[in-house]
Amino acid sequence: MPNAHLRRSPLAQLGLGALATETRGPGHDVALRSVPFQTAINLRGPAADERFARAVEELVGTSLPPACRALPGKGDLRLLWLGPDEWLAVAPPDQAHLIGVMESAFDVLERGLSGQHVAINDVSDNYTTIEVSGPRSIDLLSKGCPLDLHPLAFPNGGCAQSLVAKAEVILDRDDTPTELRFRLMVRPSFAEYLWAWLSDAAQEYGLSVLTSA
Amino acid sequence: MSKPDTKTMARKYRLAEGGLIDRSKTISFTFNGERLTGHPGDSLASALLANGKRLVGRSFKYHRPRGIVTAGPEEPNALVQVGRDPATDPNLRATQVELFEGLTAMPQNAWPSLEHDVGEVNSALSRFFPAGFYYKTFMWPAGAWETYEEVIRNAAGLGKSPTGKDPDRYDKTYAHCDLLVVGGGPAGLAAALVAARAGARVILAEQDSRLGGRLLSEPLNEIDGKPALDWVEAAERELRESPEVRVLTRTNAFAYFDHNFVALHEQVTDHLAPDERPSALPRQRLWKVRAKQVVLATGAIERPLVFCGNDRPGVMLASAASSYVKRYGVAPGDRAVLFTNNDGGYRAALDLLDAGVRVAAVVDLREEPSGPLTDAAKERGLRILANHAIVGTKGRKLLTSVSAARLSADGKSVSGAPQEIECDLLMVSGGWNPTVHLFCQAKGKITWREEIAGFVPETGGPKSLACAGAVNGVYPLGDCLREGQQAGVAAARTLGMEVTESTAPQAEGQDFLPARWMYLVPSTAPTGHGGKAFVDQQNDVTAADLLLALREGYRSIEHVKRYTTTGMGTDQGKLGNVNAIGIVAEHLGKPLPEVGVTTFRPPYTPVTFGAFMGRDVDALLDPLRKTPIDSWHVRSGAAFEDVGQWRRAWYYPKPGEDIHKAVNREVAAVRQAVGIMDASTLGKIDIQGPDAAEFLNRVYTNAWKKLAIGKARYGLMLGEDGMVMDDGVTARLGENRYLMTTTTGNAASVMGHLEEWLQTEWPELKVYLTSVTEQFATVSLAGPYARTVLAQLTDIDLSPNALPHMCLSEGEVAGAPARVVRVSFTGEAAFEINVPSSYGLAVWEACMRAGEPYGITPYGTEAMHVLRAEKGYIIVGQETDGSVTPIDLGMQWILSKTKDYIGRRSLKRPDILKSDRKQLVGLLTENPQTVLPEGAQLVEELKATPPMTMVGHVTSSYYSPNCGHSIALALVKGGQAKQGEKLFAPMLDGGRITCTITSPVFFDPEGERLRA
Repeated sequence: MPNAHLRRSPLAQLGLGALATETRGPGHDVALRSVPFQTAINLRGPAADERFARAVEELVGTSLPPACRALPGKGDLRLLWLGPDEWLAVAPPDQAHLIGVMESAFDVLERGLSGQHVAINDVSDNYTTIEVSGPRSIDLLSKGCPLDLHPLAFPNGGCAQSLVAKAEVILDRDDTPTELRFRLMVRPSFAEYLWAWLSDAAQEYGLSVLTSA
Repeated sequence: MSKPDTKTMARKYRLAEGGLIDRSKTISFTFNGERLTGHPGDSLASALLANGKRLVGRSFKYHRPRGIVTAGPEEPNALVQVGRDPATDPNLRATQVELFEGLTAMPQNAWPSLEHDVGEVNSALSRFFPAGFYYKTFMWPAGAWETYEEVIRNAAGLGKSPTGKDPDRYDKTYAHCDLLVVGGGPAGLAAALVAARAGARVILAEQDSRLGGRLLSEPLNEIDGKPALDWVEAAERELRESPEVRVLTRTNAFAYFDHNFVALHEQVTDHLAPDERPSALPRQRLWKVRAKQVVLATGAIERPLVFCGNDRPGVMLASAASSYVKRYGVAPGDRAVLFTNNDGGYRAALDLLDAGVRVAAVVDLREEPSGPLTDAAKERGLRILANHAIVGTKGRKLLTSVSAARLSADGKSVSGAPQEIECDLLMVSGGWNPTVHLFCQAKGKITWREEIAGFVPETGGPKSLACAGAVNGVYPLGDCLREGQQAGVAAARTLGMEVTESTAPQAEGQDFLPARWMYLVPSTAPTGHGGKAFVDQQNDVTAADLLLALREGYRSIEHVKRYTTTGMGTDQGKLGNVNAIGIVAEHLGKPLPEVGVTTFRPPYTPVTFGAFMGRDVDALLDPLRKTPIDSWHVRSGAAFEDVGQWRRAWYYPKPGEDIHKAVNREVAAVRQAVGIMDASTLGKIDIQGPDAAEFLNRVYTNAWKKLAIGKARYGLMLGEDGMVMDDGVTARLGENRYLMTTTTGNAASVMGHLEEWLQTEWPELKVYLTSVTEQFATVSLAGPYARTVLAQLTDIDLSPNALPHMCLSEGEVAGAPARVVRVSFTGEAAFEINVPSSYGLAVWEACMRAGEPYGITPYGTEAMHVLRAEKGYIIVGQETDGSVTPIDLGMQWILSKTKDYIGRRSLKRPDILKSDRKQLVGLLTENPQTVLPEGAQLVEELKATPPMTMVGHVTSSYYSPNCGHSIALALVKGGQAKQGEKLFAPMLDGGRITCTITSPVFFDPEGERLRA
């Protein structure tokens, strides 16, 4: 994105920097972290069409994930399944060139796909990300999310669109080598509410705020 | 009155040994203002009994003295108010309140005091308060009911509501499991253990503070050759150590909904002294459990007998007396009598004997008492009055004696002179009622088993739900364990798990039979004379009340329940219902199951509102959605209004300005200089695909196929009923790509509407929809200098030829990638700048800086409303209310005649075409300074008082500084043909506002400014 310094996080006014630490504090079983400005590209297309699937794989470096799963692709990119014909490519901030690359690739592709069509949308600013990590992450999220987040039902690499409290979120479980970690992609206008709700719900587990990416 | 020495009293009733209490520690608490002591492990009820407190409350209607009847959640009398306002809870059952240091409890329904109650006069006048009293007495005049109700509530109220804000924290959570076991008694523990060992995710919910169920009160049982409580302890340890098992004590499963959705209410810190409650923990937690399998091991509740004077303090369930002795180490009286109809009742007599309490006699309804416990009692030399009934009791605030008389040959009456037996404790056993509440809530069918006189779950009930133990009418301990174990095995196997273990824990045990069933015990006088026989103690319903209801023609048990209020208290008839059904059945000469049961509804026991709300209070009650520019509005002192969940800047008052002054200034600035508005909340939907234009053609009333790339068009969307649903501007971004905008409040519902049609009606259309509402922040610049200001910030050619009205262009604005659309909701030349939302604030601030020399003025939603009303532009939801068609709005111009669209067919209905429908018009008031109130009704013919014939109403009304007079929009019957006619708006104060119907366009009707 041009002039990235002009961008402002939806949680900027909370002044989280002053509270933040590098790692989870002692006795704190959950941590929250604001991760703004992630690149997010929404893809629509015919999953069953091999040419489409192959084109996506070439672009992002992973095959289309199966239902309710996310797969890692090139670089730090992740491809999330959102629905039978919808995916979300998530990458670190300011990789807008990805969108251009994808758009032109799909333009070519669409012309080649007889009777099929695709759609691509830059939704980087349609979401901001809140990371929930730590051993009580599932207990915390279960207070607001009706899905079964037990590892048997929602393993590492699971993803889903659901609610946490009254905010719609995309849940993406992406553990670190040592910790449970969920990414919650939420619309910016709900971010302050969701942050406040999670902070309140986390009280009984002990809460750390981690330094933003 | 001298105060009794509480220490002596406590010593007297507290047994020297036994029970699950810790005598090494003493806890102080206060009841009814009196300081008392107890021990850890006590309930409030057991501590009160230990202190000799037998009178604990007054009844609901007659204010009769009442004592503790039970040792569990079924308690009808010992309701207490715990804590101090506002951290106070009414209607808690003293039998379930755990004692903690500093506990403060007050009895309920006692005024001015427990000992001297004014309402007791109700009791003397009780013949004037029969069943259905409220219905009969307070029928007329209807308007006076509110007054009656207030008086009745004061006299009869159950506890007091807190007067202040609840200071406690509450929590709610979802939970999922393979198996939910309700009830931590022997059956529940056996089920949980076997399923846990098979690897199932198990939740075990027990309402008590301890696991064990009735074993807590019958500790002498042995399981697998060990003392029962040792087995319970080992089971608990094993369950708590299993990583996939969650053991929840103090947790009441209070509601069972479809698909094994069960609600649990956990009291997390209620049992701790306030200063020991961890501040991070919620006071209570609501669990919303979705279970693949459920085992209900909810046990059974002992049934009382209905006889004259059965509500006197000192009358107690036999099983409760056992609990007080065995679990709490308390003698519930000095001299006891047992009144029973079954062998099981004798256990209490034996338990009391073991504890050294005198048992004066057993009054047994059975003609020839027999059974293992009866035999044991005989061996102990207990005096047994066989084939006898208790026909009366004595004692004002505590039982002093009972009278027993011999039953006649048919058992329907008594004969001979009653004999009086002195006692201060009457233990009553009438059999057992299986606790089928949750099973029935789950839509399970129950069936009557005459041999145990109980309603039990039918086999082959709901799938994925099993009952085990006493809830099935299965009472012997060994059978309960086996049923529980089998239910656990079955659940695990259904879940596809391997279960190797096949033997259940072993135990001896027996049921409570033989018994002789009698729902209304005969007395020396006919029912209703010579003393009250209570069926429902909490609601003060007697057997005579039931018979009265039947005499008055009520037959359905549901009607009898509502007329008499039996079973309608907070205990929901846990003790009384089966007796009530039995009495009704007997009187109607029907078999009991034919009378049937009333509906079981949640909650099983009361749940606090706090638990239902959880943390969804105050700022967390509902999301407050903020735009990317919100922080600027806050800094600039904006007044806000809520639009759906969004917070939008309403107006920006300068010092000394009220809303009118501020809005007049903002409106004038837009017309004369340049205004800036945050329009980020508009809904935005990206529409892509080769059939996108066809799709728009179908969802909008106007034509879309000829819209050129880079151009935008206003569209109107109808529901199938032809009524206006939404409107907005849609721009064509590319060959197959459009960006639709929706109204702020309808963004989500329009998206849902479009997806529904696309997915269910038109799957052949090649179109993808993506919500991008929050991808973009939208800054709107409007007014004569809008172009000048924007030109400083962008490389886009803004000249009227390069970017005419309803066209768009892409480029950079203030360093951000931007799409600029010439679109206007104010009637001025206006530019909507759309940038990725993270740039929104920076672009807004840049606009403010660039506009400063031109008097740029931020304007809020109120000024926007005035500006658009000056132009006669509608707002969906203000000029429309779901009953307004485009024809009513005078918007025939937007209805295509050459293609189909949603709602088109409905616009041809005769009613839609009538000329006297309410139609959009403008109104000008006679006095140009008078602003009509929005919502005002309009009449053609003014009368002195209502009713008057109303012909319409005002939908929008403002003072327009640009016009120099007030303006209003209204919906008026046949209004489009009535231009120039006078209407009146009668006011509440008797005044009226005279106005004239005009065109709804008040300003720049030619639209010259718009295209400038």
